[in-house]
Amino acid sequence: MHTRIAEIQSYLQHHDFSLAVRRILDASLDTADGTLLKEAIQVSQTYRQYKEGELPAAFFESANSLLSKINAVTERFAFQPARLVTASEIGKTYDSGYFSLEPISIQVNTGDILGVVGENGNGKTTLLRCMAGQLALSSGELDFPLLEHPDHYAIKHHVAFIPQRIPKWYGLLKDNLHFAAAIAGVTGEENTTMVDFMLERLDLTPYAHLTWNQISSGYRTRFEIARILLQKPRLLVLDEPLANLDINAQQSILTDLRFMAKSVHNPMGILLSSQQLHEVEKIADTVLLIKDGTCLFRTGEQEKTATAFVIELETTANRETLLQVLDGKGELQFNGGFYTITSSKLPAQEVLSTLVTGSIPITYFRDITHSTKRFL
Amino acid sequence: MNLNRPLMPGFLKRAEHKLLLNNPLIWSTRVHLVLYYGILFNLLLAGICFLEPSDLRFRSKSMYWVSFVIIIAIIGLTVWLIYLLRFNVFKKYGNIKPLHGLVTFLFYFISAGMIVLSVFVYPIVECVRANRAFSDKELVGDINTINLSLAQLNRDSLNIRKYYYSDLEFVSSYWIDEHMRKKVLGSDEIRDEILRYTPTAAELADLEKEYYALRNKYAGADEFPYNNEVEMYAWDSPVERVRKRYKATKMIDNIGRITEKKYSFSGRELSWKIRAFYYFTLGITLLVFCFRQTTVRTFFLSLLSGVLLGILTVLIMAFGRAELSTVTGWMICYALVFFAGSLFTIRCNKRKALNGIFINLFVFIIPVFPLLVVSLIYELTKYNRYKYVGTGKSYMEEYFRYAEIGGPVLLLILLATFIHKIYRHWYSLPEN
Repeated sequence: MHTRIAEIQSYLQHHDFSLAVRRILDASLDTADGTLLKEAIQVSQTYRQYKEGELPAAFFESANSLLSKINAVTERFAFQPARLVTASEIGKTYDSGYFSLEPISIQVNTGDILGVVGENGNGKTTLLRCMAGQLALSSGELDFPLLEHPDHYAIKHHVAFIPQRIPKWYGLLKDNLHFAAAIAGVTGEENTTMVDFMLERLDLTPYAHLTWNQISSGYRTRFEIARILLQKPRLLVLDEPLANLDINAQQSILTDLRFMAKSVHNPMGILLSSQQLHEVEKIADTVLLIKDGTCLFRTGEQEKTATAFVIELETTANRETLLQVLDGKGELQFNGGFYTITSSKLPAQEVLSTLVTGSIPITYFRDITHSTKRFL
Repeated sequence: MNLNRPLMPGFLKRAEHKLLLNNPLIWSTRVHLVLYYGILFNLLLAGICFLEPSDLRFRSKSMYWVSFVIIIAIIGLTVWLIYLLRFNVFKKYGNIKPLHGLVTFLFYFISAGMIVLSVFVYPIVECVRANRAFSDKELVGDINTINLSLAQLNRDSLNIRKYYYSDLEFVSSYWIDEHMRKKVLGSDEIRDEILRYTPTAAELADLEKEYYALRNKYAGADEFPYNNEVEMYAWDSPVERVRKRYKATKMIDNIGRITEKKYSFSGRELSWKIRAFYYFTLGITLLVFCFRQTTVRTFFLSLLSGVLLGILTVLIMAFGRAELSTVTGWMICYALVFFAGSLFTIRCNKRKALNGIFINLFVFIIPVFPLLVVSLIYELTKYNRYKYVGTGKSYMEEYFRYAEIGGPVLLLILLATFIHKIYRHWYSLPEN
């Protein structure tokens, strides 16, 4: 049995039904078989119908039957990463001169997620808009090796940009999705299937017949993602996609993006900016920290150069007690909410062990040695 | 698809959904809805106009109807634009084919044309009603009878003699002759007819009865005369005196009105109406097309530039006492500058409003460009023509007609080859 199928069956066995259904949908899409996709949509609809109560046996039967069918064609799951976009020393200086993005080089492959973090007004959106071809570069160049004759229209056709403030949609939400799929060349019955799939995949089916004004800002973000994904972009650029989402939705969307990036059906690169450092770090292959228009830190490369262990701590104990327990093996900083302990001697596990031994009440603990958080 | 549009039949709902899934370009133009609702509205309007209890002999009410329908058409246009502006394949960087610009333009033209057409419904219905109520043969026959009767009844006072011309057209044949195959008798023919036979007193009485029957037919039984029929003046011509004596003015006016309605869609009238329809539709289509291909800011800047350029040109011309040839020359220069500006966009790597303005103004001036060229040639050569070949009017009129047809043809060719590409390039350029 293919590991992906085994994984999904494990989710089902451990009652992680929501995740299992989403992964079934992904797997059926990757088979590129319309019949299997429709069956997966049916499984998802059944789950949605009964998710508040007890799931019927028919759900498990159809899910397992579908998984068997998918397992028979798992040779289609082969994923080959390809170089998608290379930005060489791209920089941007606005005419007004009030802000300048210093030259940055980035490479995004299909299946990659690149996170851009940083405080407000430091150049995250400028970098994203440059990468999306929306802003003219002051220096450097962008290369899209997958596009044969990349004129600007073709680039924008393949690069989707979701701004933080999503422009209003008009008409029924479902019509917008059908339209998005149709203009990307997904027509006829395939269009209907793909829209139904995307609605189920992002758990939007109950809202499909509503209008923009009838849904919350969180759902607007999800609908926008659904619309963009139906246009099958090669590179998806999202500016603060988590800003309007609740904590559960943030986790769910980030996990979905992780899976979708590596989709065999439409593998893509994802570039996203966010203030949610930890959430982004969890799913991103590379994280860039931008400060004052300069790339201050890049995970994967500079993290090896960390000279000290850094942890974040929330506790009811006071500074004196903490200093006493640490016994000079670490420096302590307090920002009003958290303590930051920097130690060149004790790794995070040992700091935790020392604190527990010293009977320090810990309500929150995070190792940020390799996180961009330590620069903020 | 949850469609709750009023009066929308099942087949149209299915067609709408099919278009959305398979042809988003046509679907987004809403041409199918405009055609359906437009035909429905025009049929309803035509039905109401047919049932309207108006007397065709009296003054036309088309001004009121046209004004009313223009308001409805503006509302219809607004509703269409609201729906049209929701979806745009081009601005969403969807898959577009090389003829996208041309096809889109044609769909906009059809939609705008359907809306503009409603303004012509009442005049068309009035024309049909007038033709149904009064045939050509009947009208010509009646006019000839009236003219012959009045001439015969007044042959002495009118001093009708052989080889002596006198005006005997009590009801004028002007405008009627242009459209009718059977001609209205002229003064000479009436005179010859009168001199051929002298009727008896009984026959004259019958003629008088026949005249009054026709007068009642066209003027109504109302004996109340027009103010100008009350008194005779010394300067009245013999024909005018007869008209007053027999209270013919109202009848003559009404015959004129009937004729006007009957032939309001024939000959020159038809060509002017076609022009009005075409230019209004073209203007709306060009505005919508440019709006859909450029940014909102650039579109309004283009309008502003056009207006300012117009004002500036008029001022320069007025102060410089320029002739028409200079004006057309300037306009041709503008067109060439707009073309050069549009062409320059290909080399740009940033989207600038100025280039967008050049493209929009170029698109606007293309349909009249051949007209401008012919007009300039006409103005420059008119003195030579007067001198050597007479007025040359009909000769040049033909060229004006060619230019009028050539304008839209040129526009369509450029839409398919140049304009679409240039818009595609300009719109997708990164901003500064």
